[in-house]
Amino acid sequence: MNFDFNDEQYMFRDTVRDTLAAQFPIDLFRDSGEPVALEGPLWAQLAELGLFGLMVPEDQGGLGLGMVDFALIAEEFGAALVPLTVTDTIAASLILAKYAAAARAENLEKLASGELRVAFAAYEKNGGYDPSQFSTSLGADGSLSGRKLLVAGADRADMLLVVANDAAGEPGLYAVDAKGAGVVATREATLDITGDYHAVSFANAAAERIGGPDAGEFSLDLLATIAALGLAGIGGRMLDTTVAYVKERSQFGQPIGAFQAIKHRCADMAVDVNTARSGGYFAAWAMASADRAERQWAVSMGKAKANRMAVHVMRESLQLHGGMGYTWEMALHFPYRRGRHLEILYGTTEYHNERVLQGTMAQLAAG
Amino acid sequence: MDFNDSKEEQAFRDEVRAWLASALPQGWGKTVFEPEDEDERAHFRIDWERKLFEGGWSGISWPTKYGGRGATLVEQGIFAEECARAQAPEGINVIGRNLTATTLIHHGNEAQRERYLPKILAAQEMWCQGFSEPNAGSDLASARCRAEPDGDDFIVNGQKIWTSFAQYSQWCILLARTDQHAPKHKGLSFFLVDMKSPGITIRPLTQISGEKEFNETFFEDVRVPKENLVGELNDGWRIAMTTLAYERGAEDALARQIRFKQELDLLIEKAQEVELGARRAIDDPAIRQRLAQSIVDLELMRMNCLREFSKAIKGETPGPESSLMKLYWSHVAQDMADMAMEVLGPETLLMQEDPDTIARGRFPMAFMQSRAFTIYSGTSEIQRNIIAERVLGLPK
Repeated sequence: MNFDFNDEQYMFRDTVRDTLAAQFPIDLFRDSGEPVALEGPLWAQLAELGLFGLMVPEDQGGLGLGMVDFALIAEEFGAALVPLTVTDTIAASLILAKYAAAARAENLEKLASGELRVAFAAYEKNGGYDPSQFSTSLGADGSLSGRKLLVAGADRADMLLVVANDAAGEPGLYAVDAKGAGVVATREATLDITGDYHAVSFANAAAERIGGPDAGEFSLDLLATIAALGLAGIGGRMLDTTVAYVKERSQFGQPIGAFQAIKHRCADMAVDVNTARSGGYFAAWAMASADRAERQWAVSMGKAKANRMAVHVMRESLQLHGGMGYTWEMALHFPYRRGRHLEILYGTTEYHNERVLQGTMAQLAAG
Repeated sequence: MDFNDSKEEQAFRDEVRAWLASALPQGWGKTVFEPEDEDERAHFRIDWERKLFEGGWSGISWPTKYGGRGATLVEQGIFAEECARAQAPEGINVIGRNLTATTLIHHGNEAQRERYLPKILAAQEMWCQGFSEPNAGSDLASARCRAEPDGDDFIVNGQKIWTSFAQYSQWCILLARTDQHAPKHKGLSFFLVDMKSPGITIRPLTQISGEKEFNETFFEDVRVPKENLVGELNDGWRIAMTTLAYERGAEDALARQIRFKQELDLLIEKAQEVELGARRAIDDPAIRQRLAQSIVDLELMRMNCLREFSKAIKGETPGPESSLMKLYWSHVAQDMADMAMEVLGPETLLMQEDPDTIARGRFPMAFMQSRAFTIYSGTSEIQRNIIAERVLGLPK
């Protein structure tokens, strides 16, 4: 057993952090506005770092690493508000390597080099979080119909990975050509303006089966894990920003960070961020190494804690910045918006809590 | 990062499990429990610690030259997990093992280590902690208990409070003032005091739970040999910070996590038995949410500890970051104890002696006991100050 990352993993994290800080500062959102325009140069830089091939096998042009290696980087991506098309594409490489037939090898090579862009189309209106309740489904002819919400960068994606039910009602994961017939993406107006999200309608679209219920579940667990790590990154960033601010901001003749009312709230934020990291790392390990039951239990623990932490830390961060925090200029609202997006889209605390309880009860029943 | 056991770790785990099964009485945790009487229970726990020592399970991560096993904190963690699984009793010499020993390893001299460590491991000598005073609680550095040199001894006068297990202890780690004129942090020294010394009086204090675990301890012209000074004269505050870092740290927290998890497992079991009118407690969605939140909080308490273990294995000494552990677990456990009172219906209010009691009155008792968590080892307010000033670097 070992519960820490190794030196290489920390070094890779530092490289990614430095690159993002230099090339993708939060000011870009404030000053330039449109996230789609910002994504292009970033995509090329991330491809150069080899990040899209992180989890692609080495013989297919990737680095051959796994979810644990990706954990610290996913945290940095969260902190930097990297567009979700990036994490979707990286997640897709893991899914395709695990589930797709050999014919997909070509896709993996393209994924590794950043030439293929993938978007997950998972959640639906009135669909909640449980894939068995999704209404997007395959017809008798094997074509896919339905409508998905909040698909990141769908208008520029090459491939959509769609969670849908087959004709017999069994959930699974399907690949659909994003530019194919019967697929229409419409930009949505969203709380999160650091990325672009689309409603995607499928009308008898040609679909290729990637895997059955396990592939669908695994995909949603993977997205929830990346979201939990992203939230840990956002929480850490907002904690750091807040601590720096209260050291500088002076009122009543001293830095406000000298007041216990402020100090104690910062301390509570730090405790929460630390614990959310523990949860995110455990979830990442479980994605790579645990069986289905333990994976679901661990992922839901990580996501439930990340959700609660983020809601708490983001609220406190804005509050401790006072009136400035409420200004567009201060830019705190960007991580706040992204944080709520990640919190709610990939399973609320209540949804994940229920899965945790079921997992624990099964463990207790098994002795 | 790997949460799975290596082959060697799995073998170690199997060995622990087999030993625990043979050492615990038949029916342990099901039909056989710890003694109800507090004093009998204390002696039962001392006996259990001795049994652990005889079995070779004391000081798993301690150096072999002091009688330990020389393994790492990973094995220590595995042992703790297996004790949890077996619902093994708690030890009582936590202060000896976790505070005195660790402090002596960092700041004691070789003679002190050789004299005290093996007897702590063997549970032959129990320890208590003489830090807090009636007027030096959160402001510990203002302690007034005095130690004045006199020939080969120091003479100690003063009063300590909240000295848990003083009545069972042979020794005490004592923080006493040795320079009245220096700034308050610079005039304290750290001593090892024989509790049999003439002039020591113990007066038990009754806690809100009705238990009498802690005491007031009075020192009147108590002679302490100079060889019992730990580290340098007037360097006691810095040494005490090491003690407190361990008191608040991951090893202590992991042992507690295991107790809390046992309680939560018991609660989940009872929630499946108890009916709240038309449905079982476990079928109430609001209750399910509350149970789940405690599961998440407690499991991540364990993950926090394990991450700290890995840092310690890499050679990092516990410092102010240990306040993150303590602040987290104390509130998580207190919240859980509050929640446990609210999910099983009216009979939760019945104590152990009552025939209609649930789980032998464990939940109301745990509720009362848990009030102390956010007060001892430094109140939550003090932990927050430490985190803010010494971890986050906010101004004093």
